Amino acid sequence: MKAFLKKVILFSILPLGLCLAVLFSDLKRENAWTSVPEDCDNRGSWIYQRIFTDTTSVDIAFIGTSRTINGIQDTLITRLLSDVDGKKINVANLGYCRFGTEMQFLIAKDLISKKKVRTIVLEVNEGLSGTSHPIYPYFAATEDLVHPASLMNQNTPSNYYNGFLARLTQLRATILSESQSEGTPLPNYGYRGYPGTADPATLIEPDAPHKRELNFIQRFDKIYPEAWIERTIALCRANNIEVLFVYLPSYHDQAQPQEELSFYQSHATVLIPEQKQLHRKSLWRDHDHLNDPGAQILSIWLCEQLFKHTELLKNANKNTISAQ
Amino acid sequence: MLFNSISFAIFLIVAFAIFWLPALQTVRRRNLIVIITGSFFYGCWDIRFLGLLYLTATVDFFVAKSLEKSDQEKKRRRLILVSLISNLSVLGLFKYFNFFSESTAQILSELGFHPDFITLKVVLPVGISFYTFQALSYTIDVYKKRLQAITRPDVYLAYITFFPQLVAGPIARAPMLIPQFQRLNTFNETFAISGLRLMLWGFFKKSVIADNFSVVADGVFSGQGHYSSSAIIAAALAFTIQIYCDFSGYSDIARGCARLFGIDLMKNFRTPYFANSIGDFWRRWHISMSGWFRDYVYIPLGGSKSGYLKKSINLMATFLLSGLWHGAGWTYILWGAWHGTALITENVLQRRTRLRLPGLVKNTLVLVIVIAGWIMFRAESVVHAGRYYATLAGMDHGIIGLSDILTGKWGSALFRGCMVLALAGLFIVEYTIEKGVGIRHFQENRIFRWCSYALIIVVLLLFGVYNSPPAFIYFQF
Repeated sequence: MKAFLKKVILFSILPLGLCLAVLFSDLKRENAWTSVPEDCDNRGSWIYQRIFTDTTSVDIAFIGTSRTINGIQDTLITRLLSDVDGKKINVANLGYCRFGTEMQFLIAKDLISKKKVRTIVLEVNEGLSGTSHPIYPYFAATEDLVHPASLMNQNTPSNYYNGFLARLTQLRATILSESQSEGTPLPNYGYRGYPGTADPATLIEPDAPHKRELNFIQRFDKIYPEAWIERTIALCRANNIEVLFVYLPSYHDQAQPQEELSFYQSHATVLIPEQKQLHRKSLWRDHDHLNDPGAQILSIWLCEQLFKHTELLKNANKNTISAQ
Repeated sequence: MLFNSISFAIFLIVAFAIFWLPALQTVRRRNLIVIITGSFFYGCWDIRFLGLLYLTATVDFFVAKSLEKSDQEKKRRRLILVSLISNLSVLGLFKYFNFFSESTAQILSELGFHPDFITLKVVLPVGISFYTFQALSYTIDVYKKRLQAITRPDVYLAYITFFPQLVAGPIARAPMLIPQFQRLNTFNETFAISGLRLMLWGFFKKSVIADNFSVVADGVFSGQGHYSSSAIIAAALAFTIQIYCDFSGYSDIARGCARLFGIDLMKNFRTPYFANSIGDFWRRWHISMSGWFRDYVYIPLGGSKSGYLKKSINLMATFLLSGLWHGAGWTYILWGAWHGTALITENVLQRRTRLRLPGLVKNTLVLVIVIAGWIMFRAESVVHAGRYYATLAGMDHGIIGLSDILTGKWGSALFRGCMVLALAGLFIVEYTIEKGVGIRHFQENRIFRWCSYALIIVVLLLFGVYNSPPAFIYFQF
């Protein structure tokens, strides 16, 4: 048996070595963002285009999930802020479908590497999960994929495997001189609106406010998402970028995050929409996402909050925003 | 849990490590490990089907024990009927009920009747055709007194649940496999390494060749679009390569896995595309299944003993059943009929003419017949198959040409060249196996051997399909 195992180990050196070489090879940012065109309406390609090829500046970026995509009208916010402030302030909605704080980090990192951003507003939610964003390994740069913070989640083995596949695909494309970019990027800005209204029966009222006593596993689950939020904040601070949080609940969620609020508040200001503003069934497209009227109310409220809380806008005339 | 997945690799390492633990060096404990790992492996597909597997296994175990004890022919006949009915009714219910119900409804509606037929919303348990036939071979062999019934349930359950062959064969025969679970095997390094070698070759056939050629075949045979004859020929050739590399690749991996556990499974393929007659093809293709149909259907029907006409009828019945075994669809039945007709015609020509054709011509003729059959086998429906044959016969003209289907990675001339080289490698290995040369050279020359391993690994890495790889074709049967 010993001789057999020795031979198997000897035999495994070549394939393992090759696999590690592929895993640690550099993933070009364009290849990364365009590698999953079928996901999230090819939004990865759009984010790449907005950050790397579009020369329009980004002054304020909203980074979050599909709640950001459907809730933040960046064109409206750009217009309102620019009109009030008197100079052009470009706002970008860089949301990407589904939860995953490491995805927020990836977007922030690439954004900071290419644009001189003044403020980043990160979407936060209730009930942070210890699972990784499914697309993260396809988009992540190698140093982030193998970063110790990546180890503390339930998908680490599959993340390494999928990260390996993303790099293998790039290697094959290079050898075969194929273009990896597929699909048509979305035109302009990141907000995606829906005029329709949800079936009221599908909107479940929130439970009475309560704070769970977290057990060991639940506390462990929060290590991973919190570590990535902290990395994102550290990255922003290192680049003199102001960070704000915006709480975007589903229709069913509490008026404010019960378990994570103190964590969020210990790092940055948390913008929490008043429940009476958005807790109307006519403002929701479905259980999780606002429709156009809902997004408009949220965006106008956000403008007011940005004037209050961002250094960038503190000197602007704040009285005119409501009138507009 | 597909053989070509990371989860299977982890499972295999864990199963191997536990199986050879020094503390488990008794037959009973080893069999227990085989049963647990097999049940886990099968349960990963769908835990509910595990109950079905154990239900039929329990019935067969006790039927065989009763058969052993009984000398009364009437009682023995009743007992074997219990086994046949329990196994075939499960197979019929899960695999064929909807097909027969829908077909009958369709025929009656064509005749102007509109009866209400029910269809069952059931998922086909993976590998049901394989383990049912394996279980049946055991009870039939005990009934025929070719085999003694097993008294120990651990041996019988290990025979049924041994994971490498559980979901797609080879359909192990009890006299060959059961003794291997009755003795305590010691670890044989040479045997285990030959298993790893088989697995590597199987992965090459599956991931590099079958999965890449499936892209061409699937595009045309998906039933969408109107393809030209050149596109259909290319897809038929691609499917011919795909199905062989897929299934023989699976069989190699299964046999290789089994060898890691000291178990020798029967060979399922013997270079079938080198066959020089249809009969020869069926002695080389899916040997465990064709052998099963020969021993348990064709010979009991009378075989070739009762005159030429009866032999032809028996052949056709066997091939029709073999087609139906593959899948509950008319395409499979017609595919069986096609091969049955070809074999009967071949027998007639052999009897009535003294025509002697060169070997290469015979090989080519057999290959053309086989490829024509694969079109029916792969088509979405008989109507689709009819359209493909009509296009090939020049009665119809498709608008989607060969260049239209060679897109994506197949659009790259370099990729196509690499695939041709991979096929050339496959051909050389198959040819050396066919001619019985080269294997010894491979085993004796260490540098050549390790260079071959390295080349296969690099090719697997560069050209293997790992992003959502297609499942093995025969898993659906």
